[in-house]
Amino acid sequence: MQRPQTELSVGAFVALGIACLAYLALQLGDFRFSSNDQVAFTARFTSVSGLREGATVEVGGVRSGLVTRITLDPSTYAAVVEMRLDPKVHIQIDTIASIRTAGLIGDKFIKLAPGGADELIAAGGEILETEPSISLEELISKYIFEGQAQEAKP
Amino acid sequence: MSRPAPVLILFLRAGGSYVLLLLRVIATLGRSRGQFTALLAQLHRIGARSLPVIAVAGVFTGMVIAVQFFDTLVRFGSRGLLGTAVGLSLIRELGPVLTALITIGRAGSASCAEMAIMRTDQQIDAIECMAIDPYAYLLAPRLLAFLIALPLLTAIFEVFGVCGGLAVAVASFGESPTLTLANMADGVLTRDLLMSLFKSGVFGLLIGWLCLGKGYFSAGQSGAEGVSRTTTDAVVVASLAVLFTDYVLTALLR
Amino acid sequence: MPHAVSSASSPLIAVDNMRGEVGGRTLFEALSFDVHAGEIFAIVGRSGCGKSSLLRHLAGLSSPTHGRVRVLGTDLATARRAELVAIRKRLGITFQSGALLNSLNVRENIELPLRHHTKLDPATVRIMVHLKLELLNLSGIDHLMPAQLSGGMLKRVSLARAVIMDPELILLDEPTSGLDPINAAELDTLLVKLRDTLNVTVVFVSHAVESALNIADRVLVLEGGRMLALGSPQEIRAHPAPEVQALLGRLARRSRPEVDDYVARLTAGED
Repeated sequence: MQRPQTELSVGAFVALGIACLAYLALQLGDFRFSSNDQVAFTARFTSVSGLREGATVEVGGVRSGLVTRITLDPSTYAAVVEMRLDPKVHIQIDTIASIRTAGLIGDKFIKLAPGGADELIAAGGEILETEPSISLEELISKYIFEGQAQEAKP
Repeated sequence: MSRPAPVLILFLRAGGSYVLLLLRVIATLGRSRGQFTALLAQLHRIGARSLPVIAVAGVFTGMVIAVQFFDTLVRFGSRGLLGTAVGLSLIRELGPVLTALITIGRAGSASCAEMAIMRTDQQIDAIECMAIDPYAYLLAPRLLAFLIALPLLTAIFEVFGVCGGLAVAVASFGESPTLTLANMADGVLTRDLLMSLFKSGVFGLLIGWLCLGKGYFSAGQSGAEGVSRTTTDAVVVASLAVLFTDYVLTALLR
Repeated sequence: MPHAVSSASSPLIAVDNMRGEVGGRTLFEALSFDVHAGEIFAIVGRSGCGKSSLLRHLAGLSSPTHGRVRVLGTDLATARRAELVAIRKRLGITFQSGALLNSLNVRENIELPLRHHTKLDPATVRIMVHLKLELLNLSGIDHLMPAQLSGGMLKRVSLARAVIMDPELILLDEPTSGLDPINAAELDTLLVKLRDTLNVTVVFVSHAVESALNIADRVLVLEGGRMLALGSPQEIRAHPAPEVQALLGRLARRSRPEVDDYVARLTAGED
């Protein structure tokens, strides 16, 4: 029943399967940087509408980290976003975090605009300057209704 | 037994016998000699020999969804999302489900027919009369092989699918391979991969359980015609069970 | 060939007023008989008289709906799993088709029970398989797969598998059916040889009444699920019941009218 060929082919099959699993996990999962290497930061936004866990964090358009958790601070109704960043990226205290959209209807991501200060935010610290998620619908309605109001004034 | 039992009773009895089959198989695990050797042989039959078909199916699936998504995304000016779309649909849905359906057709039907033939030919009776537990000797290694092989086959399908999708994105649509791959990596979370792994494990268990059970419980009296009917039934039931379970798991574990 | 039967010891098989059913249909009923150690016991009857089902009941593959069957001192219907396993290690069985496992070759099929129930090293197992193959005139085929064997070989290989554990009792379902007369006669002698060399009790089921009468010590005649006669071959041959005589005679006569009829029709068509 037992033939060396069987063992060889099963060995090759299992090895290939595990290699594929590992490839998927390393290439596509968020195991890419082991989490110990990454540095955590938080930021508070008045609205994170459309942002989801796993969204990317970009610095200068380069993917540098991702959003790990989004929670609501019940006392202030602010959305608290936890993110992990590549440790090589240093964040100054006047860095601005804003929520942007890739394309017109694409995924939301967080854009970090580096500041000019010399002082850096320590790991685990909070990015204080934030811009909330821009809602397209709000923008449009603002434009329409403010336009109407201005027309009505004179 | 003089008049036919009510449908409900028949249904409960059938369900009960399948549950008992699963429990008895679990009870035998590791307690019978030679199970590991048998497991290797079954992994060879169910896993290794499915490799070519899984790889080819994976490549083509990746290619076709890349084309489909490109056509859709380009209308909304979001062709940058191509990688995410291909990656997510492969890993969350198509990988586990298509691998399961192919495995049913290739290995599930064969295992069912094997059991049904052994039943018809009284080989299962012979095994029992040799005081060998057929659950330990026949069913356990096969069921375990399905359970182990499916997640591995699914991972292989997905990697080949990703390659196929990437190839089309690069060759036909002029996308950058690194960007598409990075975009795919952004869209696919560890959670999605675990979901894929979990689904495929469940499918493996389900396929082995239903196909083997169908063959093992076959009446074994109507010869070759009975075997072919049993196998057809097993393929239909297992395929529907995979699709139904897929919906339930996807809805529950979103 | 009468054989010294020790009827003083307790019977190996004791069937008491047994009835068997499948799906509400009665296969046989009111069966009572004993099989003693060292006997060759034949169960004969026409196809469909319930003899194969009876054998399944003796092996514990089916349970009687009424009455009792004790095999090697244990009631199989009420036996716990461990008891059943213990009993089955002491008996061998063959099925009509041979029922060899298709995925294993001849050697692996025969050594399967040894590998499962003993801790013998492979060399010893090899020798034991070789001995049994030799006993059954099967030398030199141990590497063949079941699909490569002829009908007669299949039957003998499954017989080798049935006796590999040196059982006290073997149950054989139609050991000679489908064999040509020479092979069938050879298998008949083989059964006697097995009984004499291995001291095993043989119970077999057959529709070949004449050959059963030749080798059996006692014969049970089954007709329509009922016991028609039970006794030594001489007693059966001289049995007064017309059904028994009909069975003896019919089997000799049976095929001829059909053949004659067929030939007559063929020749009539040619005219």
